[in-house]
Amino acid sequence: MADPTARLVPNEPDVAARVIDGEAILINVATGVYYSLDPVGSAVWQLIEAGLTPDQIARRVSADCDVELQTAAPDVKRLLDELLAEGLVRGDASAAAAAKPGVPAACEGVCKCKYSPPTLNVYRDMQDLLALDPPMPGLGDVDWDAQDNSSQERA
Amino acid sequence: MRVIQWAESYWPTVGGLENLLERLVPALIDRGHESIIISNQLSPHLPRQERHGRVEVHRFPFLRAVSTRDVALFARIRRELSDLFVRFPPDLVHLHDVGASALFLMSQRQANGGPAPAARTAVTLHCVPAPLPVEGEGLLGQVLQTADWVTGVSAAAVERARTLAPDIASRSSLIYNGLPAPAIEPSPLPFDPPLLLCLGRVVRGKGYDLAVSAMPAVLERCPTARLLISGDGPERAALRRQADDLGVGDAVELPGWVDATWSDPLATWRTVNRATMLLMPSRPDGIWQEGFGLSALQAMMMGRPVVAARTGGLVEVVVDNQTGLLVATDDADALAGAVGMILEHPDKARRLGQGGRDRAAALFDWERDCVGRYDALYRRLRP
Repeated sequence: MADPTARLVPNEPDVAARVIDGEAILINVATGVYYSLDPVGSAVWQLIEAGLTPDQIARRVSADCDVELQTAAPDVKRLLDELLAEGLVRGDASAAAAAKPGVPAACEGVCKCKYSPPTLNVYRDMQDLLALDPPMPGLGDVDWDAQDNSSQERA
Repeated sequence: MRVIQWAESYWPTVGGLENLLERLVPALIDRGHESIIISNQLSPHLPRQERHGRVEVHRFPFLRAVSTRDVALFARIRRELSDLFVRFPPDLVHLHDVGASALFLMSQRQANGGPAPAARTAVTLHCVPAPLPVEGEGLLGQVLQTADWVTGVSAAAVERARTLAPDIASRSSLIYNGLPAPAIEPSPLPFDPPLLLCLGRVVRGKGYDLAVSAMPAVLERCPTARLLISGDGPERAALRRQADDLGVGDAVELPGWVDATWSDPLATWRTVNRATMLLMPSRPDGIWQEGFGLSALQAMMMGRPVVAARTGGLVEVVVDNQTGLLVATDDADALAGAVGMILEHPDKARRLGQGGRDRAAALFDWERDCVGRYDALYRRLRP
């Protein structure tokens, strides 16, 4: 369970994450399980990366999303507990440290959308679904970057 | 209506789904549904964008990103997809099967302010997904659950979809596959010598090893019989070894695809026309079971009886003792028995072949039962 005053950090290097158009994609590189976070969840993720404590995150979401703190705080806490349970974040060994410098004034996505409880979508069947597809010839033994035909067009 | 046809697999990959879409998409364009195809770039040698016939094909390395767990590549693909959705804003995104690539569509839909959320989504299951260990939290279930409409190419596929996502019962339906009738007439079934045909990707799930295993018993009853496995895939060399090890190498042909250049649209039909019967001993393999069995339909349209395994949607296409014979899965002895029975009873073979033609005409008509139903669905989903 997330301590409201103790910072959490992304569980690198097991977890890789990117925020794209307000949606965070998270991959547990070790297990192959994929996750996505909706815009409010993505904002929480960015605030974790920025070094805020759970209390600070809840207050920030409350302010940026124009939602009561008593609504945002339990929602944020629930999401952080889910992230902890999935091994996507862990407690920061230097939890007593102050928030990292450079905390963004507003996180991508937060101010652009109406508030809804942040949601973590879990995709545990990605490796099974890969088996549905035909084999990729050359994967692993071909230099894709060298042979990427991105600009090639054939009539 | 502007439609993105999102195909887990597409030309130049060969299979039932790919063969169907090669015909279906132009037919839907003819009915006013402007379409492009998005599919997997399965090899770096395949161009990212090209025209295949009348259809623009866009390939993305979805599987490479997912299988290598490369989040940077994932992000790059998502941005490229966003650009494509801006250039071709769809009214409908139609997923053909749900594989790993669907994660990118889900991501596109959930993104804040992205161009995709306005589009409706339809999903067609072309295969019957097997039970998964984590169905409650899987991509497959979520894609089905959030679709505006779900179809399956067989009742088995529809039923499976409704099990995975019970809420879709009122927005799901069956649309059987079909094929346009070829411009050649069925030839008489050959019995001297007879030719047993397997037609399709040479992968474990097709069960062609069972056809090879059945050959010694078949040859005991009919020494002139030959087995032609027409297709290619990872199991081809193993089947060659298996036939040689069983001492039936001379009776088993494995020439690869019928027409490797794909220049003759009737080549496959001509091959079917040479056959006495089609064998489809498919088995559940990993995540999928046979959704429909397009090769079975091809054989039926050419008046060939089909010996098929009782699996997935095959049992809806092939009716036991009416259009062919059904046998248990993974049972080479039963397969050999059914083949022998047909070979020893030419009149029954012809009756089953005619039954197949009749059933194909009654249930799997290209324009009426396939293109027409997708057309009607698109009109129903029009924003």
